[in-house]
Amino acid sequence: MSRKTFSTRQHSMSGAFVFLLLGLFAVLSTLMVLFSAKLYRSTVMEATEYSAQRVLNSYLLNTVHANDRAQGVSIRREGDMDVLAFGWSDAEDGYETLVYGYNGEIRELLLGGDETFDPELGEAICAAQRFTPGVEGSLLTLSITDGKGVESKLYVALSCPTRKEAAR
Amino acid sequence: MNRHGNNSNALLVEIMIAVLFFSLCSTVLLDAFIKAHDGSARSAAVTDALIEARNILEQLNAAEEPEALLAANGYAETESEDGSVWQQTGEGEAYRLMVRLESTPTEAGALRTAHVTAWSGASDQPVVRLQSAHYDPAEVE
Repeated sequence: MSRKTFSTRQHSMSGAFVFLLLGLFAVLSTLMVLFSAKLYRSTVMEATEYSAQRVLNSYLLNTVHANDRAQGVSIRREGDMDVLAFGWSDAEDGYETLVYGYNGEIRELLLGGDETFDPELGEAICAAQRFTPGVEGSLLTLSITDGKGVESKLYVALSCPTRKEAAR
Repeated sequence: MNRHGNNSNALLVEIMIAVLFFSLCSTVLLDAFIKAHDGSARSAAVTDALIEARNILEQLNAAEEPEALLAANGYAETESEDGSVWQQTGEGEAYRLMVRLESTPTEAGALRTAHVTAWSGASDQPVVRLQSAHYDPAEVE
């Protein structure tokens, strides 16, 4: 009788060990999947951020160079923000493209000569906390603060002075 | 009792084989994710190097004294037969930059050329090569 009880206990211990092993495996597998998902998400997010940064820099650099003619690039104050403007706005039928930071985004707006500036109407280029254009001599400085609060600067050499500089 | 013991052992062996198989799969998965992470870090370094190379090139185009600008940006001049060569001396960067300046005098001024080369990590293969030319007209007397 006592031998039978010992054998049953041994059998149930063996079963418990098997299920303990299975449980440990399940926990480790879940942790592994969670860790991998986190790593995958951060990798994709980083790649997306760098891609957006590359696109934005290329866009700004090429747009500035394409409009680098007499009074083709200017910086002006619209409300409480500095706006980078490309093209002509003095002529009645002239159009200009405005690039500015608004509501956590860098936006672009095509504006006709007789239209008033409304930052809400701009099309978002990418997310950014702040966008500050500035000019020193013939060097245009574009300061961009990204979603994480990291500030980067983009420099563009101008062959022609900006409207702001030409007016001096 | 013997039959019970044999069944339990068979289940244990089966679970052990399953655990081994999934452990191998996890190792492969982890390896793949580490490679993806390394690739992402390399790509980030190349992007940073490209942005920095473009920035220094644009600044050189606008600068009246390119050597002073490079020195102010942490570049150190090194001796070379190919003109003036400047290298970034900053440590801890994921990339390194080299700038070579050339000046070709002409009758009406000088043609200033800047070559910027960037390397990522310890690689000998350049990841970025940019060049720009800027004409400085001579003052008319």
